[in-house]
Amino acid sequence: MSAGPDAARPTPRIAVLGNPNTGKTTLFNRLCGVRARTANFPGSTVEGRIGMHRSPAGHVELELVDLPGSYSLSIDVPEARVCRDCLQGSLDGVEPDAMLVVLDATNLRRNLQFAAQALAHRLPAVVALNMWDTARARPECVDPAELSRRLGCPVVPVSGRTGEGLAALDVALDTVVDLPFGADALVARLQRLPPADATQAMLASWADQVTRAAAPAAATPARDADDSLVDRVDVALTHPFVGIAVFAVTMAALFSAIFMVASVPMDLIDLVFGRAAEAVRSALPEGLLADLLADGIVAGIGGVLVFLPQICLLFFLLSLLEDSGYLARAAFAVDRVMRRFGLSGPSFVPLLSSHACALPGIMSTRLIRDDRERLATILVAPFMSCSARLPVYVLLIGILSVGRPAWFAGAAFVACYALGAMAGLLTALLARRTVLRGPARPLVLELPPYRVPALRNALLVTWDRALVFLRNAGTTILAISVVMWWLSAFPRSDGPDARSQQAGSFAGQLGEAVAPAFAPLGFDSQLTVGVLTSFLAREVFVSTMGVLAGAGSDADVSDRTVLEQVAAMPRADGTPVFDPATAAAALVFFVLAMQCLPTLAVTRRETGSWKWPAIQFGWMTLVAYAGALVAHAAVRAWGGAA
Amino acid sequence: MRPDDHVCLCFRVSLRKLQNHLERERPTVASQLSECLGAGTGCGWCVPFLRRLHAQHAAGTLPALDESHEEYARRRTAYRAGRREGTYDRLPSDPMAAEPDRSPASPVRVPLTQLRRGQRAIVDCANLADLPEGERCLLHAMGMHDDCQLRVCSPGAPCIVQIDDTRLGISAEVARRIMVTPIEDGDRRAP
Repeated sequence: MSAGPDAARPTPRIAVLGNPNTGKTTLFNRLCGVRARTANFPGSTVEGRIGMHRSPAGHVELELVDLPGSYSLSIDVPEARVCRDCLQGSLDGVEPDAMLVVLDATNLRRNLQFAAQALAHRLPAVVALNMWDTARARPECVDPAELSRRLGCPVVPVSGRTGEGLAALDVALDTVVDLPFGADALVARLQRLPPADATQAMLASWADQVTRAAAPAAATPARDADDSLVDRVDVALTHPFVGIAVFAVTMAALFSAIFMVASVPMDLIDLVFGRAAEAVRSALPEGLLADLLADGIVAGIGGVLVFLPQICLLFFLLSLLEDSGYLARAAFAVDRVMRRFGLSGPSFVPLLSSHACALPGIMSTRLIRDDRERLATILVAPFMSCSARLPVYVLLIGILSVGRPAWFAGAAFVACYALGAMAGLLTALLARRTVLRGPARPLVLELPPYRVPALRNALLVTWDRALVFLRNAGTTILAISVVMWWLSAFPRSDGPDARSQQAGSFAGQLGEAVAPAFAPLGFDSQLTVGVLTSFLAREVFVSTMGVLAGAGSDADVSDRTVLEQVAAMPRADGTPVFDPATAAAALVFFVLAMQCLPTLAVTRRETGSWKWPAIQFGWMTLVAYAGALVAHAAVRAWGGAA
Repeated sequence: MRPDDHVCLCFRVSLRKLQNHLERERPTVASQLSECLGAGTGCGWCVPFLRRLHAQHAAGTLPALDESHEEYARRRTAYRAGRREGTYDRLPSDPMAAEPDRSPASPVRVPLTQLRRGQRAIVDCANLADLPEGERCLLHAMGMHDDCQLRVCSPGAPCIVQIDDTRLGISAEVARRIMVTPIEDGDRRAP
């Protein structure tokens, strides 16, 4: 072991790998805590985490790379490719000095096959026998010393959940990074293992042999003790009706929780940034700089942060659900419904998350294994009614339901959500029959055991996701806000009020120029400006209409007078802007249109080309325009008949 | 056999439906005919006939079966009765019937979808050959390989099975292709 930290020597890097559901990430989180960041591996959409670890006893600082969980190193999926490349040292910037192979001690036979493939690489290795707390209690428990002899490397029983055995793991890791490359032990290890190109059958028989030697009791039949209860729960949770009903209730609870709990911090953030903008205005002399800081930058940062509580809550609750083992069952239950639309079970969670915000939804499509299916899911995710559409729905449905029975507004809300979801699913079906043609991938899914979810883990996942969101989407939303501000603030007009500034600005001129295109929908030039500005971020529509109605730029939907002013806005000829047909057309347009630049940016990042965001934008705008046209004509015809 | 007669009697799939399916989907391998309403995934009796239909279609002739439907149904009944007793009735003279796994000596094999909850069985992956490569390798890596033992947790299609300590959810099209030999309680794999 080295005598102390050696500044000249680079930090040893250890690749952490294992089967999915082995508690690898829990163990990684135990070791690194918040000293980890999520990173994309070069040349792939696969995400991994890189963290620093210094053992309390050890002297060496280690860099741990959490590779994606994979069932085998020889299969042709992105996760396996990344693991393979990393172990072979061909992954730029992540060449490991050693590996930590995490095995599930309660499911040794399968895990050993992976271990053999990993240990066949010429790297010093430590094997962590995870879930030791559960395995130890079983009669068929493996003998770590015997396993270590068979594998030719240190085997440390640990538990990522309880923290047991971590000190021994630290010692093993500290020792292994000092092992000179090509040492006898390494050569001896390679001789004991199946060859690097072993088939799955060879690996299976080798794993069988090792299991028999290291855990003689494991070869006897599996226990039946509590399996029957788990079976019953599994049958219920994946039942075509019961399973989907349970899923619907769970998700309804999840999203109401997100909307209810997140609204408090969201309002708070809104308030704080509103005050901050005021403070900037009063502190600086009136002019461009104050405008840019207050309307552009402060409002822009506020616009980013306002989505943060929802995103954090979503990932926190999803992580708890995933940890509990329920999410895999839910995906399996909805698989048969999704299959009708050319999607599969794993697409459901991203689509569901998109009802809060399409950004995390699109980010979570990485769980989908099939590339075409993943693209189809990304393509349709923005059709789901996200929370940014909510203020617009409130405004337009408010206008539409004046003088109608009380149930009308509620029904209209439900109809908006249903319209978005249907449009999305039908688009997926169309895409899978045309541009993304391909067989629906048969689903084979591991259903991990039911567990009490680890709070610590969920918090770390949330922390991680929040950072990713702020880094990626934050920069984009901020840039949009500044561009938006610039478009509506230039050229400067000498007019006395906000309205003439808006009309004379680039945004206003653009609205005037494009107005004829929206005339068939019954939109006048003011409404067109509102719609155009909302192409960058749809919630902007409400404040733009507020500005145009002369109510000032800080319009809030809960403010009745603003709503009334917008509702009563006159056209140039004096008739109201929002007759029922126009309001209905605008509503349908907002349900279906792609009006979110951050989403397009994330689609670009996740698909790696501008082709998909272009298709997404073009198709959704087309559908929205057609839908609005139909809605306008239908309401007009119905109004004429009545 | 007439076009409206059922070839797969378990799932009531008529000859006409199979002819249309062959024409429309042009399956590359015979087992893909199971996608036509699950044909051949019940008792397994019609599998050689399905292969014959597929071969005829591949050769460019109209798929047809010469056997009278009455005779066909009678022999299926005999086949099923024989299977219940554990003896394998010899399938009718058919070019495909000479396969080793169809010999009288081989034990009773059924699709995974036919097992009851809690039943155990030994897996035979031979019919998985027409799954996408990635899916097949994934199944192997998850522990589903030839001669492994599984236990059914949730029967039917899709189904949930347990191999060692791994629970796998398997969608209908994969489950129908996995052939298994059921084992009775007390007849488990010896240590």
